[in-house]
Amino acid sequence: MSERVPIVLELPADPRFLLVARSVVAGAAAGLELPYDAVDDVRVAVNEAISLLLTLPGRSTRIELVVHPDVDALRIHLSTDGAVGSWATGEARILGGLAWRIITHLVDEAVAGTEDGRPSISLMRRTLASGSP
Amino acid sequence: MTPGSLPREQGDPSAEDDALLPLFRRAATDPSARDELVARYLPLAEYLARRFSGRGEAMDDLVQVASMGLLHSIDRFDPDRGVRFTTYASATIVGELKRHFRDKGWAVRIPRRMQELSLEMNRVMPQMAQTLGRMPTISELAAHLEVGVDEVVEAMDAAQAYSTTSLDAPVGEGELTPGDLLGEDDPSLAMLDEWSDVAPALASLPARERRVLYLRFYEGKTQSEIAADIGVSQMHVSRILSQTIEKLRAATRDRH
Repeated sequence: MSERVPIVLELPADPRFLLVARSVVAGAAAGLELPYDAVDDVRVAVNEAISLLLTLPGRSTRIELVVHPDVDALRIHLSTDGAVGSWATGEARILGGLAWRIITHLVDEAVAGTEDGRPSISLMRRTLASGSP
Repeated sequence: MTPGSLPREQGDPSAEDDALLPLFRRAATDPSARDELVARYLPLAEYLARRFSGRGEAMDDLVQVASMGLLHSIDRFDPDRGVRFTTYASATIVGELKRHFRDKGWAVRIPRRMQELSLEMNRVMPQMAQTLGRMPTISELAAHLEVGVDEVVEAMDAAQAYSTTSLDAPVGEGELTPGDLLGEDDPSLAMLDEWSDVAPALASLPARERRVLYLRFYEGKTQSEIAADIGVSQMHVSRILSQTIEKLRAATRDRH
């Protein structure tokens, strides 16, 4: 599958910027073979994922959003500059909580992890072109 | 009365308009003449209100808006200008209904262009879904409506700002409400066990909102499948989901 140029965006760690993130994701998805309601699902998932990252213990000042609008799938990577280990300390509550349950139902794959010591969430939603939307 | 048919009470609008001209001349100074005209033409207001049903607004609200349009028509109608009252009133009432959709149904201020595009998307998506056998993509929707994909993306957010109807809002022509369509057994209550951390908030949700959550997150149905199930549009389901999730999140936040 061919790949396109990823979109990289850094936002203040503030819920006021959720709208920007949702719009960027929808814009990136616009060129893909993703049905309208699937794009809407991904937008809600991104909204929830960022909201979840903002609730992590430790002070985040920014959220990094990377969107890969690949032909076979829309891949989104979210991370914060929150304190090292903050994800792990809240993991049990967060991964059993409401937001995570919602996220995992809205995308085909959701992974919560830590990258370079920063809490992160990766989301993936397959397109019609993947053969299994 | 079936959808799309003219109200039977109207008969020949032209003849009736002419017969009522004396009443129109007295209406400004005689409240009983005005009341009689309101009663006579109320079926017209109700008929026009029904034409705007199924767009996410409660039928009672639409009839109220249309009735206000009828009152304005009676107050402003000049019987000596040679225009039939039904023509004049229909234009006024439809104008009031359109203005209501543009201005009153939006929770926050959204540019009119986006409001109209969002309503238009809501209108064409079911037709496109039927033709394509699936929901259209954003590009397909933009091409169909002859607008840019960026405009459709912007309208997606505008759509979220539109208010949802109450549970008791009639679905359309008949007397069924969305609540009736859910049935007496409410399988969504099964969620209370699995989602125990938000059970009190879930239990306090209106049945329709809990049902939509259940269908989406428990049964794994798509937004368009849920829309078909409960008889509303996909965009309406999207709004219910977003607003319900926000309610649950607020409840969770309050608890911690």
